[in-house]
Amino acid sequence: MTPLLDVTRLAKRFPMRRRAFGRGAPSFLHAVDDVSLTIGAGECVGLVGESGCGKSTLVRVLARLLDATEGTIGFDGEDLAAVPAARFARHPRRRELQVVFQDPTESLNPRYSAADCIAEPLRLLVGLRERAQIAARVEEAAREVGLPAALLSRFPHQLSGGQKARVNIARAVAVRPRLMILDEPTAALDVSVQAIVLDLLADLRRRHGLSYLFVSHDLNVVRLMCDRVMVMYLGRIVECGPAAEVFSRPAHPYTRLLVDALPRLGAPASNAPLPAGEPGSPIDPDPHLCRFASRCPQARPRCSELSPSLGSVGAAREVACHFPLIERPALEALE
Amino acid sequence: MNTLLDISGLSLEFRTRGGTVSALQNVSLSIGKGETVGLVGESGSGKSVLSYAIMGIQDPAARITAGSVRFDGMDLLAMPQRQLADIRGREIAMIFQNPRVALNPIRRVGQQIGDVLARHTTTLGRDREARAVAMLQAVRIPDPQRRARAYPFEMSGGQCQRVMIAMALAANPSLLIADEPTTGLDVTTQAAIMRLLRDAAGDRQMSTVLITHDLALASESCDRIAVMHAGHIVEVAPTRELFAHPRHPYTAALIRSVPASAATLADLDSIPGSLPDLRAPDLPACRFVERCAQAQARCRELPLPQVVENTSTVSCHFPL
Repeated sequence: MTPLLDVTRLAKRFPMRRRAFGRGAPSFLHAVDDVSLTIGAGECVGLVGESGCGKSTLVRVLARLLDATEGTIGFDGEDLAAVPAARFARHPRRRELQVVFQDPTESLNPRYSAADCIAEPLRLLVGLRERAQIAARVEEAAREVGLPAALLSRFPHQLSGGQKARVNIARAVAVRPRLMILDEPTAALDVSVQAIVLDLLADLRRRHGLSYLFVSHDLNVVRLMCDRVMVMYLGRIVECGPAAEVFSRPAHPYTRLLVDALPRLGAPASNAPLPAGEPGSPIDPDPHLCRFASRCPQARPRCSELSPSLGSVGAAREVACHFPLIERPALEALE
Repeated sequence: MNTLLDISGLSLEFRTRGGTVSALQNVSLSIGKGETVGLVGESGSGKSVLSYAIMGIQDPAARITAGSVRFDGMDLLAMPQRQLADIRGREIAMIFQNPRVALNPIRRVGQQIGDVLARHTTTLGRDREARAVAMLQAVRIPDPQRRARAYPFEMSGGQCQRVMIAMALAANPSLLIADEPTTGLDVTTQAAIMRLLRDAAGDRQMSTVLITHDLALASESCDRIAVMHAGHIVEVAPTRELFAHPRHPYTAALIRSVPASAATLADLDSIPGSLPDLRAPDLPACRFVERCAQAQARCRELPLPQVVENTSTVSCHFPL
């Protein structure tokens, strides 16, 4: 089966301000560096990592809001990276690739009613013109996401957080996409409504065979929602594999630290080591150095000589580490 | 255990153009010396309003209609503003959710810690700088000598929160109120900040009120947890007991809605409905009644009992 989304060696580098009088080499911020990933039809892939690791840039490049510096974005056999971001808005594939943004309030136009919000992409991307036709599709989308038709005439400030989340999801599914990029879809919601929205997303995916790229900082939500997960650190994917396995038996020391840092319900806090210091700088990183080496509890000389690339450890799992945790029996005994 | 803070029967209203909002009703909670108590609940449940009322920094539209707040034997609500201003910062300190907004953007962080020392301690002017650096060191900011001269915008969110903690601890308070101290921070930073708060409380025998919407976070750090819903404290219990045997239907529902508690998505529950409109003049006696699966007629009408059992209290006619 060929995957729906097949990204190879994607990189996004932002040029930094030139030094005085243009002397010296310009420096670059490596926001996304050599990222390859696939998402199959109907698959839900999670993307986790700390703020500043490049998640948002990767999302913006994949959603074709930003141009990549290098690499290809294969979408159903077509290389979307070749289409400039400025022209992608009118590209026929725009409809098939939809994004649900993090803040349900800020991503809705305050002067549009819920119905207008959902109708806009139907006009622009599907090309519907007739009022009755648009109204029918809006109502259908509202039904899909469980938004009562009576709320469609309301404006965002008259809706609750959960209802606004539904409007955002309805707007994305109304155009019948194939891939949805969900950028922290429940981060702004209370736990009491989070489960409803997660259930809704899981249900839509099942019914329509949608593929999801699910970006979240909540590892527990990713564990519940995703088939596979990718862990990102300073622009690189450092580990990827089946979500349940990655979180129960992390292979990369960074994943291990993330999992250990999660608060556990009804249990006293762990005294597991925390990463020392802060992430390194993404500006002109040393190509020979593992980017996690400065914070890694088990860094060895080799880690500062050769930057590890993603290699497989066991079935379906990949890790970018010279000393992965799941091959080392000494560390496994500690669990 | 000796009681440090005793809130009893506290009710608070906001007068707004849209009507009177009953933000807190008959809230009672006591906090012992050296104890850490979690205050959890959905947004809008009154967690922050309660903490502002303790500090005496509530909105001008707020009016306390009943109850008392006693701190170390003193009645905070009856105290003159000048005396209260002495206690705030010295005896009761607070750290806020968004450290970037709470810090002064145009003063160096070392100076800001110095300001607290100048207002609340007898530290001499010439010693303040060294003391501020020592505080930054205590909250584990690397290279404190140099970072004391930094402005908040030069620091990361986690570092700013550490500075806030250093300011709060500068005058050696006996009670620290931490209002969502790690919301918006990464999990690793969150774990480090929480560890810092636990250590600080342990070292100084300081009492802590941890306000959070994250049940898992509260469960790790708190001795007892108070669950708030729509301006009521519905249950208070020792942490272990609260998770093992939640007595209030809302507590049980809240626990089932936490992703950390679920093995699969099907195990994750949501809580139906939403908080009632607190402006309504005819609020039911139990404000959870519309969302509760086992509600009966008496829940709407009869005043809520406070069922006390050993160390826990629950406000429900039909506790689980």
